[in-house]
Amino acid sequence: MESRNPYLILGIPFGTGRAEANKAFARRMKSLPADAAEAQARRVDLTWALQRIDQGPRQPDAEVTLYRLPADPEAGSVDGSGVFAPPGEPCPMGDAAVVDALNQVRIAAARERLRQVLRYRSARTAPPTP
Amino acid sequence: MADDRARWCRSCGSDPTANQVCSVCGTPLDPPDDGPERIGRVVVRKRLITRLAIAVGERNDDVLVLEHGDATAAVPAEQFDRLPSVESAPAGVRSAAGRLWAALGCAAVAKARWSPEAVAAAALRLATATLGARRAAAIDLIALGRPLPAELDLSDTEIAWYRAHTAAVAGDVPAALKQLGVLPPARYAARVGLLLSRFPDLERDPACAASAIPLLTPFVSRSLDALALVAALDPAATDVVEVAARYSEAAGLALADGPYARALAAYLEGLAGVPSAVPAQILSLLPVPLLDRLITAGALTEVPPGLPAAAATHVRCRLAPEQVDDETLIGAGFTAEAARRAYLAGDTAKLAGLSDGDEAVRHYRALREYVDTGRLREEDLRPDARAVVRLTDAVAIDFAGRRSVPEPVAADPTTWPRLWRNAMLGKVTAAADVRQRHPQFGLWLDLCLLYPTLQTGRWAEAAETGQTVARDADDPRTRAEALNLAAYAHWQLGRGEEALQLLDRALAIRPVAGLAVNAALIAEESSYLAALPYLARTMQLARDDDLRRSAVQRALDLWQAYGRLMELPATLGAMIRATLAVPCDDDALHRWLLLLALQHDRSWLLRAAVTSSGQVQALTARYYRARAALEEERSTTTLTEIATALGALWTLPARSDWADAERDWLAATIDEILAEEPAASLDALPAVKELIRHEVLDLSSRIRFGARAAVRIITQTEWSPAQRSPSVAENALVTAVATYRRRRGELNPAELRAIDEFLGDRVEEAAVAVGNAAIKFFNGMVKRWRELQRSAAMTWQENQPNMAERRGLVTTLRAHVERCERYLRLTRELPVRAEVVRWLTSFVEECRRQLPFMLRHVV
Repeated sequence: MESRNPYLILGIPFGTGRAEANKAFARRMKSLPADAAEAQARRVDLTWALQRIDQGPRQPDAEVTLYRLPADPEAGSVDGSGVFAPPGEPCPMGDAAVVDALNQVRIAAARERLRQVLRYRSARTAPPTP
Repeated sequence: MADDRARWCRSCGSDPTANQVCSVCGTPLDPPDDGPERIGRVVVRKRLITRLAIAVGERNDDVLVLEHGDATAAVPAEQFDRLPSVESAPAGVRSAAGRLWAALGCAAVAKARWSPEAVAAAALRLATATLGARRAAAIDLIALGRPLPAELDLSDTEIAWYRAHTAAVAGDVPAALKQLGVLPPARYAARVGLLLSRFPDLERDPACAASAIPLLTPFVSRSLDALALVAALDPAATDVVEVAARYSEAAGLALADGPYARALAAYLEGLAGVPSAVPAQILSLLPVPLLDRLITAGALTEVPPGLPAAAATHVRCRLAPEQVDDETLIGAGFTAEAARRAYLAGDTAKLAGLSDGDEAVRHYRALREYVDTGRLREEDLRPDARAVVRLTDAVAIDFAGRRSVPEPVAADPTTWPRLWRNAMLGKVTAAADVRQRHPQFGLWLDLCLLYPTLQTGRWAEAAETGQTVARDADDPRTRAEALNLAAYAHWQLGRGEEALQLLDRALAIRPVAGLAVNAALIAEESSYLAALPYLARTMQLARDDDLRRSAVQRALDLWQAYGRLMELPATLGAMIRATLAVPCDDDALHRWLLLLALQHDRSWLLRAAVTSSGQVQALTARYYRARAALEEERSTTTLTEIATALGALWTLPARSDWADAERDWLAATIDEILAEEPAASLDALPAVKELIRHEVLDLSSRIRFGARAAVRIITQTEWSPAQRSPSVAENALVTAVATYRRRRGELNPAELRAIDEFLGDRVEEAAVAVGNAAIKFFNGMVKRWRELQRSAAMTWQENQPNMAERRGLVTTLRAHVERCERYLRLTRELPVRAEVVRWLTSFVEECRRQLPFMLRHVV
């Protein structure tokens, strides 16, 4: 089993596409160490890494012979809401609507009470003499 | 509340006064006077004959009664009171005159002998005696439904009042309201009491309530009852709350709260965070804005039963917007929520279809565009989001050097993934105070910085930091990834066991396929068996088929490399089963798995529901299941099915190489079955015919197998002469011979010789069997014929059974002879021994000689 990790060598997350890998390779090749021997060793490493990615499955997610860094494509995300994952948007229910609705319920409750009393009194009130 | 006993003006309806005469219209205020109680009463007088008598007047201590005609008789009052009465007046009739008029129309006193005219005259006299009597008489006449005589001389409004009163008492509220409508608006205050007594009817009937309101309104300033009635009945009344308070206080009643009062109390309690004991359905009385506030306060967590549809939709949209479709959301006014959902789903088309006028729509469009393209349209973003996006953008874009993360970005965890790349490259830093105020962001950043640490090979440092982050971070993704990175570091340090433990922990925190892949990689260093559970877990957790397939492929590769000689591990067996249960677009892998299942899991394969993608896989699966069935039990059915399945595979445009190998295997199997001694109970001929039909076999093989399988049946099964036509096996033999004769030119000389000899042997074998069977029958027949000749009856009639049996024998012999002749024809041009042909020919000729003789002795 290959213990070297081509994605780590190129400094890109596991699963990065080939185009991105090529860019990373080019970027890294521009910043090789000054020491010629080290630079050569680094060049060999980078070349191997790029080739290894090229040889892998067309869909990187099907790769099972490389250690995944990160193992989870969502490793960079965390739970919580904010600008990019906004919480639910309540329906705009203004204060005026609430006050109005509350008034409605108060009136309904008062009318309900009034009717209760009227029913009670009606049951106990004989019609006046004509 | 009007005092019934007060002396008020019934003529014009003016209010009560202490005067004797109405100050408005001058009419005396006398109340209705019912008059003497005895008058109008009907009694039964028993003298020589029993008669009904009616009191029409009083004089001193006597009661004047009419009994017969128009002559009155005086009865002492004391005696009169003791006489039995006859009910002649309805309950509502109270006046003396009223009772007299009632008696005139009463059926119970129809046999009375008194003069009706005299009674009517007495009634009118009494009715007009005083104003009070006139009023009482009018009331009773209305109750009796009789016309009011002009002599009563009462005003129209007074009569209307009496009519209203009578109708109300009788329960005819609409009629009462109609009469009350005739009255002067601000007069006849007694109407308030009258309508109060009918309140339940008014409450029940909105039309009555609407009619009552204008009748009561003139009295609201002077009658609390009227005020309460109007407030209760008028939906537009605005002073209901105050009126209810006043009226309840005045009534001094302790009544239980009604549903609205309870709903209101529940609402107020919910806002105050007090748990309410009010049943959920009561909440359905609350208007949507109040339900919305309760949801905001967390006091309403489910849709109350009985809620009207529109309100229920709103509540559902608020409580669980993800469970409501977009159309419903928009229809319920949740455009912002619909826009949010479209943004989160990356559905730009849906965002484009929403209203431009909504600021939330514009905000989410701009946010989506930024996320997708990096283009920042600040003007459409909401102000608070705009600042955060701008700051995030500054540390998310590609830049040289390092940048410190602004606090608003550190405070918003949804911005962090946008910094992921730069953070992994070590280009993002956080000031100490920002880290202190946002420790979770600090840990997340530490996780990112582990990548450069690993890249530079600082394994020990990475292992330690990873475990620290895993310990302190809140988010399971951060913790699991930290353990993953630490595990990699341990692995690089040669500590595979520790690495595996860390990955097990990570899998327990956040089970994702990547962690299982990593664990399998580390585990396989110790043994392939240790890797299998992780590969199985990978399959289980994989979100796509490619990875699932790679995992099982990897497991099979490891097994091939290290454990092929051993039994298939149960884990691998389970992986094979799982893979075959889901679609797999790799035909080769699919077949390999089927083959392994056949070899190691045959009984499962036999019963499993294998999922196939496309015709090739479906036919392959059918073939392997058929093969499993054959290996489980050899029978004509299973052998035929496998031949049919292989035949179907054979017809595919691009036949796989493995199909040739399976053809060879099946041919060898059939060969083995045909060679079995004693003969196998199963019939290979249907399978051979299937192979021939689908052209699975080459010419040589189809002739050989066709002839062999046919002769096997011909020689092993008893032929029935009743079956006049050739059997299936005989036809197959004929077909094989015919094919050989027709296509012998296609065979090379060696094949030709071999097939010629083979067919000669098979036909000879069949001919001998057929000839023997015929001779055996013939010998038996001769013996039986003689017996029949000896036992012939004397009369024609009695000999019929004998003749019938003879006819049967002749028919059977003829069938045998014809069969033998068919076989003799088959032997032509085939290397069949001459003595066999002669033997069979001589038998046929002998029979042909005998048959006419026999026929002559059969009637």
